[in-house]
Amino acid sequence: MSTYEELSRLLAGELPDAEAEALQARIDADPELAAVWEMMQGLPAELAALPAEAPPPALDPDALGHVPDLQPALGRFSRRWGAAIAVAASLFLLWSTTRPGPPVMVSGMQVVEGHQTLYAGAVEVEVSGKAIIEVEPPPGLLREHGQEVEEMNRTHLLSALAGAVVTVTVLQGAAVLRADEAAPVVVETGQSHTVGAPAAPAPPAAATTAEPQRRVVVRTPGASPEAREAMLVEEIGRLRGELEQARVSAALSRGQLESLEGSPQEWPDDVPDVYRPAAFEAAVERALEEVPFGDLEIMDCNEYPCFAVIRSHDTGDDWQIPVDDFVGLLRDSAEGEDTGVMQHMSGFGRDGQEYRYAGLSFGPKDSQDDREVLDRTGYRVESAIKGLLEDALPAEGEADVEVD
Amino acid sequence: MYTPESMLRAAPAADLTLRRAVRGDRRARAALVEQHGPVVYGLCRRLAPDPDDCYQEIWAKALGALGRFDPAGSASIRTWVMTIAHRHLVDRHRRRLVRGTVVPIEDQPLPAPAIGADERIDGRRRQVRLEAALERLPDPQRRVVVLHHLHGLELTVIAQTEGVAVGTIKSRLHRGRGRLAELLGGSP
Repeated sequence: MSTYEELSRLLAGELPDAEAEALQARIDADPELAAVWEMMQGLPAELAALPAEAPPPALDPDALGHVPDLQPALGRFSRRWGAAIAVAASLFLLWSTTRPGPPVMVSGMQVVEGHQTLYAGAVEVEVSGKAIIEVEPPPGLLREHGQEVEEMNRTHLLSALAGAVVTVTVLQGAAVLRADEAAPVVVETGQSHTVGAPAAPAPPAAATTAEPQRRVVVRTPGASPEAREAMLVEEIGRLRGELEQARVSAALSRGQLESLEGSPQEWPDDVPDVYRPAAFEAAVERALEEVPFGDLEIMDCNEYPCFAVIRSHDTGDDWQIPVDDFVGLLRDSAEGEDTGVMQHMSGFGRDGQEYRYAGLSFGPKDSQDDREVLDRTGYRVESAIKGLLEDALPAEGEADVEVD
Repeated sequence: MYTPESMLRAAPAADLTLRRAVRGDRRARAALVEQHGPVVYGLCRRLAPDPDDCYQEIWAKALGALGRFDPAGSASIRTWVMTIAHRHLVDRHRRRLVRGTVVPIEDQPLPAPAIGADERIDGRRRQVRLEAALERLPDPQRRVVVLHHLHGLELTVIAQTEGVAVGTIKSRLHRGRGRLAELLGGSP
């Protein structure tokens, strides 16, 4: 440790008492050192006085994102259902305004997920879960008003939508429908409810099972209602299939990941203090001072055991020689314990740039017999080193990576 | 007319802007950038070789992830933005390190201090020298010194974002301050 560092540690009150007293005695006896000490004492205030803020350049407007003002209503829609939303997009018209109040769905079909409230036609629908909402506006509304509907104020729009047919099918959770002065209707998972349909067919018994009843109202010129319904039912079926497939894939991936990464290891209660984070950190720093073969890049004690990754200054053939000395010092730091040290030596080079990393962990020797600990630690160290290497990989090719 | 109760319930304007920004409102996002941009750029200016690009990249990340920020959570938006900026700077540094594009620290002397007839160093010139000395620090040390002394971040928070132990951060801080003292002309 240099005298400058010692002064900084003295300033922070981190030097052991004996060392602090010795350094203070030197300061008192040496005017030059006293001058440096005085400068060191003023350094934090000088740094704090530097302007932390600076006038920034203009931000690229694209960075703000292309988010329409109605995003508050759409933001909670499931991305998973994006395809369904895209299918329905041509059938769907959402009216929104900067004035307060939930968005109003005028026509078409929409999948809503999460917790949100909106008007489907003139019916207030509060969804907690996932639901398909369909709105068939009163005859003539869109033909008469067309895009002008966007200019209508909320009161007029809701009045105009009073005769709309609204169907809510709940896939998960529940939805509460409030229409005029009628009592709220709660629609639960697997159920479908239609408001404002004089001839709406009663849902069959199957509607109360896990398989939801689907009644779809669409506006697709040139197709019969039955054909349009069949199209959308088929589309929803396809999406459900994709969802199931995604779930299966995710489960498989989780299993594969677990076998690859191992399970996170808790710190055992009986681990001697010499292997715990504070001691490990101190041992690594002390050993690096004695064998300064590289720079400490990563130290990770989030799991048992700790490990450190050090980048070697030397990239020649003999770069591992000082690492052996370093490992010897680590072992010495746990004097009296039967210590096992795990080493991962990695190197790569490209375009004349050479890099060497030593990943080191240590713990009780018997921990090396624990396959789970061994595998998990190996994964942690290797992924840390590979993380450094992957950052370095040029996009156009592979680096010459060797992990021993 | 506001009743006392409604006033109690009313959220401060800044909170409302933040909530709108989280939900995707472009104007609110622009306001957020205006509010925190100077701090982010201050970091980029001292900790990145290309501060303008760094600034754009950080905001692209922050705004891209803003939908996941919880305005009602324990972290303030400034802390959240600073953490994203800090992580981005660490990532950039690691990429530069392994790609070998880091400009080596030169051991050339700093500009001579401006010493007047009465040997008082002008405060502004002293700041210029301090800035120049900061530039000479290795990136990891400079990040700790800047984040801790200029932006007031706790060493534990810095350690968490860097992914290293607090002791490592303390070592970097002491080495950094020591090197600054050395560069500023002290000789023990």
